[in-house]
Amino acid sequence: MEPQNPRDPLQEHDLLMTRRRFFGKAATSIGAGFGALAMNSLLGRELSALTTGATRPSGLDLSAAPSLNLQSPGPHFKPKAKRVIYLHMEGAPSQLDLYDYKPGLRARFNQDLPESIRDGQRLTGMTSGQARFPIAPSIFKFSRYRNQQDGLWLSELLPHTGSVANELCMINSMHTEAINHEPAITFFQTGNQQPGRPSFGSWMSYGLGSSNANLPTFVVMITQGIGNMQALSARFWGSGFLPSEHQGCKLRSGEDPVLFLRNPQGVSRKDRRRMLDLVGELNEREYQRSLDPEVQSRIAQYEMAYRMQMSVPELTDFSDESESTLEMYGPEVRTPGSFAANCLMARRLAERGVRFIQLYMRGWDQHGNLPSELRAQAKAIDQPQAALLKDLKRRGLLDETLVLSAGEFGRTVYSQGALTTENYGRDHHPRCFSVWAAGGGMKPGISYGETDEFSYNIVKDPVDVHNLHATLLHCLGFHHDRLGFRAQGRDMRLTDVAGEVNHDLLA
Amino acid sequence: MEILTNLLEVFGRLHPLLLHLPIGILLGVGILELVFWKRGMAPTSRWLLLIAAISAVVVAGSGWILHEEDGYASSFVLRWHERLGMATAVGASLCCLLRFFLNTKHYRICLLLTVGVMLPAGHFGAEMTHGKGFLLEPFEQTNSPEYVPVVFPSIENSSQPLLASFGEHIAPLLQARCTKCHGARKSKGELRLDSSEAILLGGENGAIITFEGLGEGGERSVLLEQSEMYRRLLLPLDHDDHMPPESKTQLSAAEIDLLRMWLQANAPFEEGFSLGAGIALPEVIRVDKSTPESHGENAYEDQADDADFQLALQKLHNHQVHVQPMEPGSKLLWVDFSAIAETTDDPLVADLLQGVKEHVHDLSLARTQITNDIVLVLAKLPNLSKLDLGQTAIADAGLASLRNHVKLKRLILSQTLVTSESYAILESLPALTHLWLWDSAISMEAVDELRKLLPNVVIDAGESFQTTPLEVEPDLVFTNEPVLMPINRLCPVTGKPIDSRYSVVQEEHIVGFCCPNCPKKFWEDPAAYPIEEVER
Repeated sequence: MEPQNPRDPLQEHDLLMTRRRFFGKAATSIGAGFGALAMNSLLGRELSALTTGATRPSGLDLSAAPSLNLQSPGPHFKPKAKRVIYLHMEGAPSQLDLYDYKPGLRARFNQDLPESIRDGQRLTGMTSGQARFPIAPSIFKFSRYRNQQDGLWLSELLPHTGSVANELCMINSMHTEAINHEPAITFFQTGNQQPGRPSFGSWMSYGLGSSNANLPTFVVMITQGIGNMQALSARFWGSGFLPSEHQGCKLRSGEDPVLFLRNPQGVSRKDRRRMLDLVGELNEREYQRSLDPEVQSRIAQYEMAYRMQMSVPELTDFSDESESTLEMYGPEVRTPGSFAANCLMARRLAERGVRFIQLYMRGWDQHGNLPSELRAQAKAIDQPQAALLKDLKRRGLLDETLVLSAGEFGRTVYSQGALTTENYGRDHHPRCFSVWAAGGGMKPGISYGETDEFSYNIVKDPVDVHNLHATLLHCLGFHHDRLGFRAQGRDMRLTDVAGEVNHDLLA
Repeated sequence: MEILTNLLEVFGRLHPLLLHLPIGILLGVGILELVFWKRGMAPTSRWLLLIAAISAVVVAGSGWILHEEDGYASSFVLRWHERLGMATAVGASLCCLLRFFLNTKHYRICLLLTVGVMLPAGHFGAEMTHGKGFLLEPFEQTNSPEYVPVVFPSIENSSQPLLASFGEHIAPLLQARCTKCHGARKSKGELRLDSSEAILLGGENGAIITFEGLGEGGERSVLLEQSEMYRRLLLPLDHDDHMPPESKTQLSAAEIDLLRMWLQANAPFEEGFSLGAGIALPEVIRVDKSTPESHGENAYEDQADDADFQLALQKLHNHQVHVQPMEPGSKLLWVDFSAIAETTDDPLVADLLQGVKEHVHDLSLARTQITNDIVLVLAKLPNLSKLDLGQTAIADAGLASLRNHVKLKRLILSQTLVTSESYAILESLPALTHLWLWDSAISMEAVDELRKLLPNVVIDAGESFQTTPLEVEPDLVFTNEPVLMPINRLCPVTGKPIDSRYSVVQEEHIVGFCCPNCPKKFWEDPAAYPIEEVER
């Protein structure tokens, strides 16, 4: 069959509208096909043709090229940040015990939370049966660290983070709608509580494109926590309706960082190359016939795996790091899969041009036994996250790397379960929580937003999740309302139908 | 086979020459027929029409070959030129046939139609060669141009001497004010001002910059008053010799000053020249984006440059070097070698940067295997603003090549072998704003010294961050005495949320404040600060 022109909408429609598709999942495939028209040439049509499967000139070395699929739109204006490192504290860390300093609560130990404050906030199934909601002040002492304003208060659990307080943009007035983990994490990652949309990392993989052809654009690393752990679904780093090559690639701890990467016994790299060339040809023919972008994704994934066979061993080998650097990340840096090791890996990935690096730290869901569990959790992250910032800064990378540390919601001021002077638990609390960002165009050394004295409601400068996304996208050079993709009949974007850039947070 | 293709290409290129024949004949015959309209057919030879028809077909053929060969972008003008040109060829043949076989007056309708189709075809063809608006351009010249500010790379620190250069300051000035008449398209007085050689060459009245003496080597100083380039600017406006001519936009005082300073510095084309104190760099210079230089005879050269650029980009792409424009639509590039850092060496860098020299803005060579020699190449990148040499073997010898680079703003030298010997080099970079020196061979004390030498540069040497907090909470005491609770939630003085540690007793109530300073204010004038009671 002679090559079709995918830009001709009539032809494309004819090809895609097979009977099966008409009665089946018609919407997504047609929608995704039109995405091919969303190409913006970077530096001229020739360069965009190089990376487009549709009009591939002869002589293009498949093994060298990055994604063959959709040309990434690229930033809309000059970006400050070229890449993102996102530390997601899964389970929702308690802002009262880490970031939000409320000394006035010390005088309200075991008092009931006034109804006027609670103001009808819905309770989770875990605390709805409680007779009382006693206020549980934090048993951790806070210290004030120097920043660009009159100091940042951080709890005693985060001394190393305190040492980099001058770099942090601390936002204490985040709020969200969701009250449970799955919808809340989905909301924070994809902009919508219902699953099915691409994650932030996938949007960036699509929007920014790759800057290192030998590594994936979106890498995910997970650290098992010490406290109560919640489920972590792979769709939190999924690509939704974007081509599947934009999904996060998980780097595992242990001997095999990436599953199924190694060649089986008896298959050499040359053999692999020949096989890929042949399979690539077959897939290319299929693409010409059906114009299904997933075929292109498949080709791209195979090629990426081939290149990663060479690049990943070099990446995961820490032997070229100096002792002082390893010490800076803390004692756990040599334990594969620990947060420290993953932070060091994140820095190495950032150096090598990976666009979106996401670290998940599980185990922050302290419904009970908060003091002891939180101590252990905080100890695991404090030194490594500070070391990550210091390491990026001294290599001149922090200016262009956006670092974000966030949970999915906050925790309640009242205790879940029995309250004593030594032990308490906290339930989920969506109305206020704290996140911090650093580098990459965010304003360093400030503390933004305020909650009331109970850390229950926000009294000043609320920031909702869509606004945070819009602001982060702004740092990366995107108008949040213009980075879109047509799916399910409308133009979708990370900020859904909301989002406003908050210029007070920008440098 | 090769020769045949080349011959065909040459034939295609004859198109602009050959087309004059059928146009001339058809127009001539057409005019004659008009003159003889009432009196019957004109006494033109049928054979003329035959020549016109055959040549028109040949011209159409050569035009088609020309289109195939050169990379003409498809456009409205091109498409219609082709269609109308072919219509002319068809029309001319039809006229010829009618004249030969029917030999009636009716062929004149066909002739008029053919000429009517030929005129726009010719016009579009000329538009492709000479550029849009070429015909009526003389009418446009008397309009005063809109002012569009051009951003000179302003040197923020007034303490350092301002450094200008021909390429950045003088050339745009000349391009905005002079090259319309003294450029590639038009060279009045046989003088061109669009290149350094042309300026030095002068025009029909001789050189425009007069140098003292004829010595080879060594500096020749410029005689300012005797240089036509300067003298003519200072003449009265109505003087015949005054430049620019009265009807054109005049140079402002600041612009004349700039030119004078350049001449006084002996007209350097390569090096920079420093400006005297108190000079105001002319802010407003219109750089005409639609100058005829960008079309017309230079269209072929422009396209060739563009093609070279695309080739260079493709080469970088094939080597897995990341290239991205700094912002959409810009030709300034971010070039990053990190994907192939392990195998990147001097020859590769030199080779790949060759085709994009003027466009490199941000360059990352971190972790590559480059040596000191490559810095010679890097120093010649005119627009280089950020350079990452982290974790390479670069040392003082290499850094020395970057001396005096006018645009370098950010320099990462972490984990290199640079020592304090390089301070002079770092001082010589006028645009430097950020410097990273962690784990280089410069000791901490030496860094402090460097900070004094470069007070306007942010220097990051990876020092340990402060770990001692400014303030630690006193020991915690949990209490539960509602009686001692303040009655308000927001500080009456500032409106901020209160800190219950700072409370005072006021008329049997406890009033809370946000900080230790507010109670005093409140005490002095309690009535001025109303308290918002909150029910507990």
